[in-house]
Amino acid sequence: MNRCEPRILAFLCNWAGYAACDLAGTQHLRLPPFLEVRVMCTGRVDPLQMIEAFLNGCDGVMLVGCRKGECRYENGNYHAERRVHWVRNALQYIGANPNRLSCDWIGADNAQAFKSVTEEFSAKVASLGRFGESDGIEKGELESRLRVLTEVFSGERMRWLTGRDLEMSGGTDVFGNGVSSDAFEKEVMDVFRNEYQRCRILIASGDAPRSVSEIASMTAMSSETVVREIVVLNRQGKLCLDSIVEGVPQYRRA
Amino acid sequence: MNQDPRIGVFICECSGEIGGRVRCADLASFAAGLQSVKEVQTHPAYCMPPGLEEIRKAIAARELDRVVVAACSPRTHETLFMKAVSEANLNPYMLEVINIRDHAAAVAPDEVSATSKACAMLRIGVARTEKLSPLENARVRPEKRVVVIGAGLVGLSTAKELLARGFKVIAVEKSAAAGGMLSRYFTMLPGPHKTEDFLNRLVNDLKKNSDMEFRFGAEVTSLRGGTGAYEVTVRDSGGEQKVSAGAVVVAVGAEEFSPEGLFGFNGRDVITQAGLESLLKEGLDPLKESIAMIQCAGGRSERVPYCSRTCCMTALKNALWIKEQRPSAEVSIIFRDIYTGGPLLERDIRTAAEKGIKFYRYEKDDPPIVEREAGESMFPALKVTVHDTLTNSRKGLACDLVVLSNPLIPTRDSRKLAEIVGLPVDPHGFLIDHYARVKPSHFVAKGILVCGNAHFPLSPYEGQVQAYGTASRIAQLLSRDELEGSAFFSQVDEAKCIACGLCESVCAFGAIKVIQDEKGKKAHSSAVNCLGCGTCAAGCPMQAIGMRHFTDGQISSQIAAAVF
Repeated sequence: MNRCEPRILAFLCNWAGYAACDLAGTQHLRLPPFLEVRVMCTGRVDPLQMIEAFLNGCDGVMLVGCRKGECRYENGNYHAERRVHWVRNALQYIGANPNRLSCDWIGADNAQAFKSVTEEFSAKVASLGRFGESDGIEKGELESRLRVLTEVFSGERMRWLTGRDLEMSGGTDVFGNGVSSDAFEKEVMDVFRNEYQRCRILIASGDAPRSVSEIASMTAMSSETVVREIVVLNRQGKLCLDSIVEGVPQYRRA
Repeated sequence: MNQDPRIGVFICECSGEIGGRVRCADLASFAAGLQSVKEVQTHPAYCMPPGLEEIRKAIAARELDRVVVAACSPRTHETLFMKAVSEANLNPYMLEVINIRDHAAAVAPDEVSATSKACAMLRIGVARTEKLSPLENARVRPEKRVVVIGAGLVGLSTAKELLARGFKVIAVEKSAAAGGMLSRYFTMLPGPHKTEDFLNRLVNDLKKNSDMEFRFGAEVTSLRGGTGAYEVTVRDSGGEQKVSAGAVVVAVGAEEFSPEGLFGFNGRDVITQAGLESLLKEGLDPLKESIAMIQCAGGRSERVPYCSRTCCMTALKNALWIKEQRPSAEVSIIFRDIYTGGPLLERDIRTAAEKGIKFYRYEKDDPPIVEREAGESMFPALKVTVHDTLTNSRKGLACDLVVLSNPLIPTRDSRKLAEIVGLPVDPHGFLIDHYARVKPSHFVAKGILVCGNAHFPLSPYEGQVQAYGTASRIAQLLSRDELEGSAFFSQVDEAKCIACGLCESVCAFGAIKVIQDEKGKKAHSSAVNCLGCGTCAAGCPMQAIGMRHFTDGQISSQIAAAVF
């Protein structure tokens, strides 16, 4: 079977992305190669699914949904846009090019726009090259970083903050104080970096019980940081003391 | 599933549209190589009766428990194949339609790449199909009662039509009496009917009906549930009470824009059209001989940027009435653009001109000026100066009475109400359709409808037309024994839910809400109100929300199958 280059997975909303792709076919437009998952709304696409696609070997992931203000479900695309934003930030953080993930909003009747966005994205991803190799990250390392991201975006802390994004940024916090989008952005990224560290510890202690110094050397973090985070993770019930071997406590993922 | 999936793959050649561009034999052998695929067939056109029959036969003969049709778009053909599948005694949701015609055959540069894309799409489709589960549509027995918010002309007209169709109606009215804005009017459009007679008859008929209940001095404070089964909280002086209803009509009308500060408005001799209506009701002072009406008094300005649609017609109606009652009166209409759209009232402009009503046209940037004549001379007391662009000359009109045609604006609590009933508002605050261009008068939730001035400014005639339409839409819904919803809706895993309320805040349809019940505080999803977008599921911090037919497992299996 012919290989599809670059490897792009598109999440198409039923009402615009998918509809416009149907129309592109009816009009016999030439589209670049990509594979697709049909969803009712781009708002359905979980950050975890975007990361999962990269883990599965995609070089690029795109969401195509309704134009702003025309979402069949009112604001699903706005939520999707914010989720894409946070996953893009996360990709950048792990040293990958954030442009590998994009979202585009088009009219259901605009096959030409569908062709343009897929062609542009395809060209962009092609110019970026194979994910990992051309980002200077070795394959195994890329995979382990993406696995950490999966952990981060499974965690309730990141999900809560990014889920509240539309409501919070530019709005007010629970005390009625204003939150600027910049302040919100900074806040979330602080939480993200913190969660990223914790998730690395979790993963390091996932396959076998580990001591603090083992975890510290595996994650290249200081022992102080590791101890501090282990305390938090233990309180959250995510990490527990497995055993004490020769006076050294061994921790494992709960 | 106790047993391994038995998938049948049906590859449609689409009369050459697919067959001519994709090597269907290669695609078929690729499909046959997939583990869960137990049957592969090819046909020139599965959408035709013989093709559908082949699918039905194969399901029975090969004991298939799920089906993949590789053909054209599920957007157009899914229901057809669902029907065929259910005729073969399979659950209609055990079907996946993948569009290899438009997404592979028609758009790929050559046969090789078209075939390879079709194969990949098929693998993704089969992976999803392995994870499908049989689904039932959401069902509810609709309550045959309707809550109408607002007992103005439109609310009352809706109630009348609903009662005639055998439904019970509860009208919730903020003020102490029925009639709304119109009860202050002397006559109503389109012709000079006396409002009082008309309204009295309507209200009395309704009050005699045992299926009709009025709640005066009352308001709706919360709305729960879904189409066919709403729980409406009504608050009045006696406290709060919950009533059940199958549908809710929002007919709260509009308010008049106050022309305070415009054209010397004072409520005495510079009044609004509504003020004039009250004067006409009492009998117009015989000393008011010379009357000028100023159109767009506040309308089509920065403050009220839209045309209120009815003020020109009201002005014409009142000018004609005065002129008919008292031919000696001098009536002028000072306008920017006269709007009397529709066949009923266009002729009134001509009639008015024939009867001697004067028309002057002004530009927005050069509005008429209303001044009080100095000195003790009693009459006339006002002078209106206007630059008439029809004759390009400056006119000074001596008047006893200036009537401002002020626009209608949304009621002050329209946004609050919109939030309670879960409907969107436009930038002005009018409650709006979900998809005005495609589906007028369809609102986000099927059982919550808006009509009358709450929707946009309407004449009483248009309002009644809308009311009858609304009643008919509700009858379509509630006259059924059972309402069938979609099968795609969110479901909350109560064990995982921490009642954080994130889902409630992202849902645009009020379909998922955190509710405290005897089992504790948890999010509850209304299968009837949920439109199945999945935004809540993708955001849930605890990953506690599942989307039927678009489950995490199904999507993951598709991603995993997207091997390049």
